[in-house]
Amino acid sequence: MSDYIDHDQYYIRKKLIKVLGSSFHIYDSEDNLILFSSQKAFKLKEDIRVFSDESMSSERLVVKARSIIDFGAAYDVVDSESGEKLGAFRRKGFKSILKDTWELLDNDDNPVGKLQEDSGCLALARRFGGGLLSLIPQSFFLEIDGERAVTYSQRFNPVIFKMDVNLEKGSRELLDPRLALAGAILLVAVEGRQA
Amino acid sequence: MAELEVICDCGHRFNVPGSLRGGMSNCPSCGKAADVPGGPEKLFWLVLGFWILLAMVVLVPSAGYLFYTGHTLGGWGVVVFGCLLVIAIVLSM
Repeated sequence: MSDYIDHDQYYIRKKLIKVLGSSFHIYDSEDNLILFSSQKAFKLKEDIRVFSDESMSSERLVVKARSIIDFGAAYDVVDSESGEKLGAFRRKGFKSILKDTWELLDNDDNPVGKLQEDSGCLALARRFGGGLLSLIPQSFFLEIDGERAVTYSQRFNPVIFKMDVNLEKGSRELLDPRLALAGAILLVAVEGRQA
Repeated sequence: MAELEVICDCGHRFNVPGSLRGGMSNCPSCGKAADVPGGPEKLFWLVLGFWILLAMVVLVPSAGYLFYTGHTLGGWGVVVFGCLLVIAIVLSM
């Protein structure tokens, strides 16, 4: 496995101002850039390619949508180095109207985990509160068998989107850390766009 | 959902659940992810095609009429709008 998944803490920084498209950087706990992705604008079917750095010469992960329509879409996660599919995330379309919810699927599409927004009340306040309430940072938890494996916490920053990713103790026995990062990538690229 | 047959780049054929339509599945032979046929949705392309056709049916005669009646600026406006529409569609492919 690659060295970029050796850490338990990461943070993602998304460029807010980019002409046509978006990009984000993923750093480890020592502020070293470990992953970078840039997405084209006007892409119908989401195909997120994640590279080791800005030169985009070494591809690490691919997160690819199965369908054009975002509502309830599933996204396959593939390790570019081995060519192996690691799993998939499926967005729960109707549930996400009130509270962002994703399912983590195994290779045969059986649900094995759940990624969802922290609190129902805060989720409603962010969506329908308007004004300052919409600036409340989002937090997400990825749970496997009811056990919290990963925490995603957005930092309060109205100008730059930053999100911390923390793999809980023992989470590596529950899930592949590359899937934990793929979850973060989807939250930034897909949920971030909808926000 | 009916199963789908996948042909991997290594030549191995295998079946996957229908829910994986348009996605990927690991080949049991080589272990690499292979594309599962089925996407993108036909309905989406039909609807998109219909709207493009409708736009052309409206835009082309409109531009022609505007040029014919001497409203050159308006005619060019419609042409530019049509070009931007085509560019947006091509970029999204």
